Parts: sequence; C-alpha cells; structure tokens
Amino acid sequence: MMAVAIARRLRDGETIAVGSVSPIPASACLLAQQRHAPHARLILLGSAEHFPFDGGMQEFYNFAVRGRLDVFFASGAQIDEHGNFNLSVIGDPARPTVRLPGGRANGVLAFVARRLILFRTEHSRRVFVPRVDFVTAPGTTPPGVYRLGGLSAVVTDLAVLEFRRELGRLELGSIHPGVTLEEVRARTGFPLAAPDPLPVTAAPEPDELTLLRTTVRERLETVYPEFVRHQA
Amino acid sequence: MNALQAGVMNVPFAPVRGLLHTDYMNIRPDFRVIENPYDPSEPIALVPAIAPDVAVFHGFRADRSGNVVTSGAIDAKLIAQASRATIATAEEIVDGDLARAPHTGALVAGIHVTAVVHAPHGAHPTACAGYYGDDPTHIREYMRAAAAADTFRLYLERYVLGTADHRAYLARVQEGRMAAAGRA
Repeated sequence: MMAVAIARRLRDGETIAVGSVSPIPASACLLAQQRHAPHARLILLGSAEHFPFDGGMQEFYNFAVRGRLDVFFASGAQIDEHGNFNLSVIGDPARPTVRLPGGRANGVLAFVARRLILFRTEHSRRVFVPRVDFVTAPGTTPPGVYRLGGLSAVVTDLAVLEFRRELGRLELGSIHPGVTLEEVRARTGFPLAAPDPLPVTAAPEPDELTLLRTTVRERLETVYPEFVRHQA
Repeated sequence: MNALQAGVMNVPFAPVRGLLHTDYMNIRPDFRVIENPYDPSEPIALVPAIAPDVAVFHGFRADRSGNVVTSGAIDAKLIAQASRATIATAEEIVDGDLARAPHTGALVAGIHVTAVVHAPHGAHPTACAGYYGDDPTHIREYMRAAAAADTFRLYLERYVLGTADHRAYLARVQEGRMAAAGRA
C-alpha cells in the first residue's frame, strides 16, 4: 500500500534518489519506473546497479547539493506538526537514549532536494510527536536561507500526510482503505487538520500488485535480500 | 562531505548550503553562520575542515607500489587525500601495476597511500563485494553487546583485545559459531 501510494507521487523523467535502508521507497521507484515513469532516473544508495556515479558518495552528494534531485526519500524517527524531522538522536542530545544513523546527510539533502518524501511504517504517537527531540532538518526555514525544496509529504502505514509549506504544517491528505480518521488522529501526537470530505488513498490496482510481486521483487532482491526474504 | 573536501584542498573550513535552523548548529559550537561575502542577503553555515592524522580503508587488491582498487562507494579516494597518512588493508596483494590494469571499482593511487596491509576477510563482519557477503550473525552479536558498557567490554576482550591478530579474531568468530551449532 505504502509503495503504491509513494509510486503515484513520482513523475516520468524525474531524478529520484533513495537513501540506504529504504526498501519501501525503492519498491515504489521500481514500480513507478515499470508503470508510468519509464524515463525516471533512479539512484538507490547501497545498490551497485542503480548507482550511476563512479566517484562514490562524494559524487552523489555533490550532484544532490547542486539541486539535481527532484525527489529524495528519508525515514523519520520522529516527525512533528511543523514538518521538522529527527533522524539523529532520541532524548537529550548530550545523553541520548538512542543514537540514529540518519543524520549524516539529511541536514543538507532536505534543503536541496526539490521534494522530500518521508516514509514510516509505524504511524504512532512515538513517531508523530508534538516537538521532535532534535531537528535533523526543519520543515520550513526563514526567507534568505538557501533552500531549493523541502518536505512534500509523509507516507505511513495508515495515511498520507501532506506538508503545507505556506502554513508550515502537516495535514491529512488521505487515509488508506479500511483506516478511520479517528484512528489516525488517535495515533498522531499533534492536532491533524483533515479535508472534508476526506479522500481515501486509491487501493493498489491488480497490475501494480503483479509488478510488485514479480519484476519489482526481483530487482529489489539484489539490493535488499533480507527485506525480500521477510516479505515471502 | 564539505568538511572532507575542505581537508583535501587544505583550506580551513567549507561553506555549506543547508544545516541552518537544524539542531546541528546548536550541538556543534564549531559550526558557524556568516553572511555570504558575495551576497550579504544569504546567511551560510561554515564547518571546519576534516583533515585526519590517519585514515584506514579496506580494498580488494593492492600492489607493491601502494595502488589500491576498492569499492567505489566508500569514498576512499577522498579520505586518503584528506588525511596525513593513509593505511590500506586489502584482500589480496598482487604483482604488477594496478594503475595500468583495467579494474572495477575505484583506484586509489599509491602516491596517496602510506602503507598496505594484507588482510584477507579484513572487512568482516561487513561485506566485501566480490569476495564475501556480510555476517548478520556476528553483526547481531555486536549490536547486542554494544547496547551496554559492560557487555561491550566483554565483546572487546573476547574479539579485539584478547586476539593476537586478525587471523585469531576470525578463528574466534568461527569457534563461537561451532559452539552455537553444537548447542542447537
């Protein structure tokens, strides 16, 4: 469901990069490429096949900071109402209870990718908090700060939250089939505005499911063998 | 990345577009903000250059002149140039000149390399593409051990401080594996 919801946000011809340890966005990209975006250029970090640079991460990073990424994906250990996300530390930064590996480049890539899409398989109050413990990247920045793009949406196992840049906050965009508005609000640690009527995320089409279970699965296995094994 | 690139160029800092209004600016007093001197309307972050005394990286093959072929994904070339001394470990030491042979991956020129160490399985427990995959069993053992100071000390004693060299380390990993298989 998440992969399908993400795939539909990707457009043909775009340059799309997926951070490491991100099998769901990677599936979404491979699905979009098979279906409606055959000319999308995919960069899957951690993959030899979908990594077009021979100059390593340095070349990728420099490519990204020049504003060449249309879409970049990251997860979020914590995400707040204002679109700030935390991939760095949980707890007091001086004595963290959990130290996370995602801080590395997100403090820069969230500024330069045209659309940042966050994904999270756990829609809960632990993730959607009133205020993140650490701002790895801010939802909005004051005028004057160099910023080519920023947060576009957060896709979870329950819903799609859209970031309204002009309001500087996340709002509900759609809920997945079988999910209720009350459930999403109960599992979100901040007030969540919702459109009325509330759209339901379109369910996967049969051909999307077929692609996910065949071509996408085969290609994903070369990058994420453990993930594919657990989906069996 | 900007900081390492500054290290390569032997300049003291690098401007970064990004980082502003993140908490990195709060926990790192050495990260500064200045006005872009060429466009004062733009605030811009500065980070100090990273120029390590010593860098260590693992490669596939090394020759006797210090040329090393390694994975293109680990930025070995960048790290080797930013550091004052660079030690490369390698799966194989080969005769001949790697700089003149066709290769897959990245070639770090011997002129950037201070020393080469022959270390088969030197990337363990992580993978070395084309040689071996990662060792999820040992990675899990490490993660469990690293969760607390006392278990981590035991891990260090068993695998690092208590083994004479890399070969002994690999033998100890294997021992643990056999014992676990015996119990199962």
